[in-house]
Amino acid sequence: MSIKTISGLFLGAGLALGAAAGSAAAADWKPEKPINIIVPWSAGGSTDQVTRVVAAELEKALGATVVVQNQPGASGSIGSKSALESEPDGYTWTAGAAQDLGTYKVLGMLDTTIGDWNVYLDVANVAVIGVNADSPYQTMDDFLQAMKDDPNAISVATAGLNSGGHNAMEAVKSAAGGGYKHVTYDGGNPAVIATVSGETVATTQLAVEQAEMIRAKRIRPLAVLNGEPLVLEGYGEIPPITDFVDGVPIAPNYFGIFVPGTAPAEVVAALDKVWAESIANSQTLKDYAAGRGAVFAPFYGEDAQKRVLPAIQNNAYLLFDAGKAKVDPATIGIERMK
Amino acid sequence: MVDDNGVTVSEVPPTSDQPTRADALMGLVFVFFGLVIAFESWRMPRMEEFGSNIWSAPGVVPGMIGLCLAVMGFLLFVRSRPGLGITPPKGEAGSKTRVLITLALCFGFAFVAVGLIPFVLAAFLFLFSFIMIFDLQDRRVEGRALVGKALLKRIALALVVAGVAAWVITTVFEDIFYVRLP
Amino acid sequence: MSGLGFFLDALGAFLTSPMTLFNVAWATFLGIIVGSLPGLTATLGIALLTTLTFRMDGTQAILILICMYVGAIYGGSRSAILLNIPGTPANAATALDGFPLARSGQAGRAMGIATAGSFAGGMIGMLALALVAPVLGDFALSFGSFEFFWLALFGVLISGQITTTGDSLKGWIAGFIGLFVAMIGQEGIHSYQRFSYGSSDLAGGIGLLPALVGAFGFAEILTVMKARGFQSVRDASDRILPRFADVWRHKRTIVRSGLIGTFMGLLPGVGEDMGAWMSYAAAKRASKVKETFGKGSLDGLMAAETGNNAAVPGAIIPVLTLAVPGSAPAAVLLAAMFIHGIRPGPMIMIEYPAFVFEVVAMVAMAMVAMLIIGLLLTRPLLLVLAVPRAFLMPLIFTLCTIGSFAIAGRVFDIQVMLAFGLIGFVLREMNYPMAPLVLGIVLGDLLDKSFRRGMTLSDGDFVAFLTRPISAFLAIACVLMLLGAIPPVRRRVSSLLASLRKKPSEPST
Repeated sequence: MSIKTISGLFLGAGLALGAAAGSAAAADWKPEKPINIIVPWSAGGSTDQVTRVVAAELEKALGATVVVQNQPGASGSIGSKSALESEPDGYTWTAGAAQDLGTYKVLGMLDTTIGDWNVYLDVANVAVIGVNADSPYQTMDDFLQAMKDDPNAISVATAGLNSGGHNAMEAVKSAAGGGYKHVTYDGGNPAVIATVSGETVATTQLAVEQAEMIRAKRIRPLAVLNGEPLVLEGYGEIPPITDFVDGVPIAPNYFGIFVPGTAPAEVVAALDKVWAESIANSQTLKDYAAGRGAVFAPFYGEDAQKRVLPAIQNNAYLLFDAGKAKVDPATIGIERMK
Repeated sequence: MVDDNGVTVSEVPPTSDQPTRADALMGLVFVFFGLVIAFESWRMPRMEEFGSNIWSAPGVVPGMIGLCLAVMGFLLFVRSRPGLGITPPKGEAGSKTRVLITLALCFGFAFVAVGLIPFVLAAFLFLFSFIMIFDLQDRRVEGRALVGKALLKRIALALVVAGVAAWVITTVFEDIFYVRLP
Repeated sequence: MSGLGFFLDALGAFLTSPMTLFNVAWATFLGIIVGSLPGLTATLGIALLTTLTFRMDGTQAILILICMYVGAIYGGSRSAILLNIPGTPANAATALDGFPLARSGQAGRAMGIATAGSFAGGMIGMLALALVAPVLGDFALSFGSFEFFWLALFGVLISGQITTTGDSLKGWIAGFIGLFVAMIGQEGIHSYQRFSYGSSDLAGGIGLLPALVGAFGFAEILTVMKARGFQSVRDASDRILPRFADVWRHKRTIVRSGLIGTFMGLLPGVGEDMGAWMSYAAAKRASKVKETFGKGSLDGLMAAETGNNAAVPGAIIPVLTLAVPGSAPAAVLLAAMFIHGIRPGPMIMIEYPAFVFEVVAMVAMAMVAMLIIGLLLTRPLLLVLAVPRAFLMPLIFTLCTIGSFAIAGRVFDIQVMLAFGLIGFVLREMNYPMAPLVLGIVLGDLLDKSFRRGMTLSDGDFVAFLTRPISAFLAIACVLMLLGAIPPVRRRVSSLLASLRKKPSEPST
């Protein structure tokens, strides 16, 4: 059913958002100075990791130095702003989750929408509902029942208000009812650790962040926020949330590289080519994704714009409904997901 | 470990620096500053309307920090009141002019010149003028002032040092650490 | 046990490969340079090398990164001793005694002691990593929000107390100013922008490093330039190789600091800097000549440098056993492991036990390289002392400027550096120590979030902060420290102690 939800969305949102990528037969672009990818999060995080893997693949494909620079602060808006305001010469890019870049305007942090960028995706991450191994909740049904019976006992650790984890938990709550106690941590990893140590009962962070603890049986995965089961190497299959509740909005969290729409056409053409030929076949990136419980997602152009939309809608209205939005998403062309 | 640290302190006689007028005034400044912080924290949203715990509101911790600062400022003021009439003893021999010149040079370089002109040029001008102004003055104070040829030699040395240093620093940061200089 | 076998295998493979030895040498050397330049830190160095070593084989890449990490934390002691400017936040405690030693003509000796301490601390941390990593990793889990709140508060209070003589008020004021500075910008729980008044620069927060570079670097430059006459010191140390007896005399300090440092490294969110401060505080408390601390005590210098370097292997322990970094540089190291397809975590001892001992061997290689290169570099570094201030100071200021900018490529950071330099200079002139201010900036975020998170978990009941054993212990330590600062209480306690002299002192926890 989730598959249908997604395709329905695509119809609704299939507007030509993509900046005129124009596969104008420009001559192959040869960078003549180092390319700067600004990672708007601190070194070592999930964006930083995957971006460094992609940067190395790009170095090979483009024959140029690619420098990854960390510029963290204000939920990633500082680094994104630097990339947005950089020289329009196509040498400064940014990276991260599309759902963040797409909602800075809603939060009043940065005047940009996802349509202002050329989107090059690398992996998608899905959220897993995991509980402390010593907790009494054996199945997702137990957990859903507990959310209704004693919401205050269900403490859920996430990486913050607009994190994938919080989005996932809100999605479950909206479909299944009940409640929970939201506890935020400095990132996905600390949130997972809080669940392992028993400070919270559950976490709904990304599969990447829980993978090792699931394998070590310190966290029991109850369901994955996706339409199909997630197979985790060394653990087995995690059932999809759709087996337990109907109507949970599904929105994979896509990560990628973002090139400002002002970049010269030959840069965009060259990158399109690199994505179609090198990134789509990159064994390194495939291995990285498989080992970390992420989904390999080498998409670009219009296709990528369509794919990232559900997560942006989801995030935008989550923030709006929580009173955190400065701008009504509807006024900037982000429709409510239904 | 250090559980009864209070006891440790008692063995060292309280050798607090002499109370001075500056301390008393700073005490008042901290009281004011702390209260402003607390007031600004009080004005922050409480987030209760979204079902959050009141203790998780953004203003809780800064508010407490502000109040602590105000209390400590008050203690400092009370303790230093005897010093109000005392003009602070002159600290180490120093010169206000020298500090002001240093400040002017440093701000002129880091605040004005960087970003306005290429970094390597800004660094060169800063290094050269700093070295010239202070080296010659230091030598005068020490009674080793230079004249004639020796002076020219010293100027040449300053030129070379400033040039080489500006170039090396710029190159190392741009080409080894990949910093895009302003 | 087969651990020793794995370790010896790895060590043997490293030692017989010329390429490996070459990599160890340049990476450690580069680390020392990065660490000693104000503004460049271990985190930045490791992140940079992660990209550069991407195409190397995983083992070589991780080895290079560990060498960079060890070298950088050690390298920061050089500028702390010679210039009173700690190269990384972890070396602020080093400057307290290292710089006075250098001013009294013993810079060479101080650097020798710092090197020996760093090496010994690293070795203690390495042993902990090799022998009890899984146990320690799990122990780190017993630190939750309640414990971290008290630990952060304790850190600021103790640093304020250590850096002032007798009277802690000014140290604590500086510490609380630092805590306030950490509050500026967007907070992590509700994403509310505190004290930023619409400025997107302020919303990003005040960076720790520009503040550090300003408060120590720029402020020190102003202090040096202020003096009319300036006596440059020559180094009069008879030798730069630390004497064995010199080191052996501090064996208790070394072991104590090594253990404290390792433990501080373990805890996520508190890293090398707390390792140094806690070791320093403990050494001062245990010392019979407390009054020499801060005036050139070899014991204090030894404690600070042993503590921060022991925290390096300490911070690697949870990286391996929990996939949680114990410090900011360790976070980048963890990311690099993931990138190279190594998956640390609770399963590592079962799935890849050989890798754990390979890392132990890497730490050993890095420590030995640091010892050798560090001692070789001492003599040339002493030349810095001979450079006239009119030449040296503008060079350092240029580095401070470019270093502040290099961290994130923001011009705003240069302005932060200038502002903190000015504030730092004024406060220092009035005898406020700068180290608690910087530690306050480091720990402010932890304090804030731990408190609010703990209150959320306990539904607003503060009692929960006092009922768990570790938090109760830390809470009592904080309260005692505050009480001890009140003169009447202090007098009472000391007279009480005097009357009880014959009995053993109060039971300690």
